[in-house]
Amino acid sequence: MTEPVIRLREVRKSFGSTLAVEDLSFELPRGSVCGLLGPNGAGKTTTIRMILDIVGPDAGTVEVFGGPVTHETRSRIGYLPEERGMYQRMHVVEQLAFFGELKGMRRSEAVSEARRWLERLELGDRADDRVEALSKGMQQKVQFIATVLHRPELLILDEPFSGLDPLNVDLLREVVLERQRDGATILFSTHMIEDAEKICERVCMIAGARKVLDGPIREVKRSSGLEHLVIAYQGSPEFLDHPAVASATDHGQWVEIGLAPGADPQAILRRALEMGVTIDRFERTEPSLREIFLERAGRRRADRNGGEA
Amino acid sequence: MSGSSPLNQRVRSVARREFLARVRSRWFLFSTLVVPLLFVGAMILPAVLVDRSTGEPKPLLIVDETDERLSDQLIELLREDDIPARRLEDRTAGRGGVAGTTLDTLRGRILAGEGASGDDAAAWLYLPPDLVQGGEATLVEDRETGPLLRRSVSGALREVVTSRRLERAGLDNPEIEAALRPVSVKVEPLRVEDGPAGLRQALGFLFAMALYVMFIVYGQMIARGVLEEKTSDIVEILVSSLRPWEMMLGKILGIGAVGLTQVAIWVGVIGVASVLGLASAAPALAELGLDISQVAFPWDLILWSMVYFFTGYLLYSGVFAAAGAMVTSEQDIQQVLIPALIPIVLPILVLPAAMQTPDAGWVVIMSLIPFFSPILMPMRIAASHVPVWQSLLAVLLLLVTTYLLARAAGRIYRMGILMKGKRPNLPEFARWIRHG
Repeated sequence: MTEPVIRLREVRKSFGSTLAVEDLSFELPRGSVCGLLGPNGAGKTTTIRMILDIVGPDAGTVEVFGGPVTHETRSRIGYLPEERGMYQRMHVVEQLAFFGELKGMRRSEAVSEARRWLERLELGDRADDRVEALSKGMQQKVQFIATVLHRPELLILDEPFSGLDPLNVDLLREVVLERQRDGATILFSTHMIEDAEKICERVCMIAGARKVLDGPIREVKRSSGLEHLVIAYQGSPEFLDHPAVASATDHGQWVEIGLAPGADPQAILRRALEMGVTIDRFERTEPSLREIFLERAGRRRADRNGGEA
Repeated sequence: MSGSSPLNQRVRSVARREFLARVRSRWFLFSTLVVPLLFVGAMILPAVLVDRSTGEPKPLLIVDETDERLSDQLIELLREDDIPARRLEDRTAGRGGVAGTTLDTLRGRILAGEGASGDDAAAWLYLPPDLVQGGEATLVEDRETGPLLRRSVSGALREVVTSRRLERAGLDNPEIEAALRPVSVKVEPLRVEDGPAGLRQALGFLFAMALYVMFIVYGQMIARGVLEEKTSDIVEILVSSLRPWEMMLGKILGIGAVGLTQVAIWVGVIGVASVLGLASAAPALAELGLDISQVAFPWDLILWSMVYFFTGYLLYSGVFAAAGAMVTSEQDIQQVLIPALIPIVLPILVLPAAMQTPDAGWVVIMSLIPFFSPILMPMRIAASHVPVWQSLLAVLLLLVTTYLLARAAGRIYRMGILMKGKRPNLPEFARWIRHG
């Protein structure tokens, strides 16, 4: 059993009177793709910054590759920040070579790697343009190259796909998964839970500075204790007003229903038929990550409000 | 293993980037070319202006109320000083019914527009009837005439009146001439290679001003560079790759190298131009009273100035880097730059006084104080003979202060670079310095 690439132990960080991360413990096994999920302001970026030792935790320990972050470990990490930033007046290749050098690459090697990646991401003809001449999407791809250029063992991507068109999202996702096949470990944060569900095998969800759940997606779903129904129907939605229905999310073409604990789904089906609703689809499913997250985050919020009252 | 020595690969990469980004800019090309042109222009312009000023100067108009017509001799003497003068009128001319002109009537007539107006005259000189007996002559000016004219007039008057007095005392002409033979004072520098003292002083002033401008230009360049990285979010990538102190050091060294490159180009260009240009300009300058044949190229001054430029730059650059890290927008930057500029401006304010007495106690002390020494010490080295221990002590104090300040600046920088939005207040900065 190899040691985890990232290990946080009871990490806490506050800025002034604002608590950003509270007692967060979390491990990321080598070779996994993990989504760091949570709504805006949940503490995702602060967590990432602590992993990179950009800010230090107030309490707890952060270990990367089995120890504190040093010069040597920094060069093994590739980081794509949420706020993209490049020297606007620099040429694309020079910019990439500069970032590569900071990660310990030799200049000549950095230049040739940069050109290779630019070809791969369909930017070969823009290699010698100034960054400011590129579109926003192109700049984002250049930034992505800067993240993977030095073949890092750990990729940390903060909202990597935001603002990209579907073709480019697929292109970058392909590169990310290819890096994983080469043995890299990938942590990426997003507030788009559906994105994570597509490529992650693990998730860590945080909300309101605290971890809500963490683990392989399959286990998370199994252990959620939630049972879900997907129903597609034609007719009045009145049948959903039933004691067995704990929650109902209308996805447009179908409704996702969270069952009340111990409820019998057949009761809902009978009720629908009694009310003359035509059922096109009736399926017991695992809950989506989104439902689990909403359920957990909502419960936490309710707990806290109860405690304060 | 790249290690964490002060000049590791990361620091060098940052320095290299900062250097190339600026040296390749149009600004660098422009300023590097323009300064030598200005310098050469400043050397040529006076000669050109002297040539042009041969146009008819305005005359001094003399009202002579003395019995002896002293004005004849006076006009003669003034002509030797290249000052044209003529009589506006005298008692003989005024005999046609007008009583002797007094100072008050002269003033009234000038104001009324009778007699030559201010546009036609440099000034009016009134010689009262009792001038030889001890009366007072009056120079009436509509506009400032300057010390040159005043000195010539009073010198010529003294000579004319004294010779008339000696004549009255019974001396004859040869005796009077002998008595009035001027006593001249020749000024000579102790060391021949110093050349004329005025030239050294001017050179000291020039160097102090040049250093002042360089500190301000390059200091602001650092502050704005830091701010640019903040506002464009590059800093986020940089801090994930290298330590804040590495970023700061690389930036300071890179921009400093730009400064040194620029200065080296200037020294080279101006040096060559001086050697070629001064040789051809020597006759013209000699006419102006500057004998440059004995002036050695001031290598000592240039070398010391470069030492002070670099050490002073290191000191100020920490301040400016911290200043840039303290703000979050272009609008705010002036607020923090003004306090950062005060220690640079202060020596410039005392410079004119300090130049006159470069070895006075207060000047010596100020020139040793770290924030002032980079500007005042080169001026003193130019204008005087500064003991080597003083030059070295100033450099040593500069380096020690730089080291202490860099630690505080590094902490502010580290906390400041990731800060966005509201600018922190002073107690928060104090906390950064203590705990950062």
